[in-house]
Amino acid sequence: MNQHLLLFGLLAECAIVLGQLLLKRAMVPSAARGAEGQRVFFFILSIIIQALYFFLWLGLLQNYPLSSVYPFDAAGPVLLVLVGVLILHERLSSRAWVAITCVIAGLALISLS
Amino acid sequence: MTFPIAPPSPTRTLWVLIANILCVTCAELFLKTGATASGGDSVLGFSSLQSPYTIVGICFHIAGFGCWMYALRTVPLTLAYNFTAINQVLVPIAARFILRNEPIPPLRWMGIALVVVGFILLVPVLARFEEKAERRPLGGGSASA
Repeated sequence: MNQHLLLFGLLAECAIVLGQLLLKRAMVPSAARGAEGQRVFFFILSIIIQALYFFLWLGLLQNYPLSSVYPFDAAGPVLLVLVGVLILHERLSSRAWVAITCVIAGLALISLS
Repeated sequence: MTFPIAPPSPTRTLWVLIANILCVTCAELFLKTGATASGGDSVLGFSSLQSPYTIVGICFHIAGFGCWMYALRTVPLTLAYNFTAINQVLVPIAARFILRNEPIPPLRWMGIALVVVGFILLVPVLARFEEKAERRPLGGGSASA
């Protein structure tokens, strides 16, 4: 695989996962003191990071076919599950885990093809 | 700046997530058309902004982002993100049949089938989660589904 595609594809995925983490933190209301200001900060930072992802993604779309670029999105759900469980402390039912495993396995097959 | 805190009604978030999926799929197709039409070799695709297709794609992305923000108020990020991974099925299929540029090999069809199974399994999980979210105050405790 082209090193340029690998580097910028992974960079784009890390940016989208970080952007989603910050957005989730911004969208959940909290009664804690100073939480509103913190949520606005997270929201703005999330928009900046997602804008960076967007232009990285456009650059990849300009230079490579959709079928080469899109498999990088398969890494997103894996990283998101790690972030959701380890940082956001989200608990999932066994049915949800089966569904997520199907999605990730499916995305891996799509990437391999 | 303030954020809306009213709880969503049952199944509305599910439909909002489906609207997000359709918006993002349309956005990706328009962005690809715009990026291809404008050409260029830069790392960041600023030159794509010259194409009207790119502007339409950005509008779809903004609409999808609005839906996404609404859904994230109650749905766990892990569930929502994997639910909307169906985009990665819809985009190659649409690219094949609408843009007519990329054939789909058998292994990819198998992957598509698995993602669709995961998507179908997640529908009742999300619906049940919304029912729970309606009964408990927002911001109380960690998410579980």
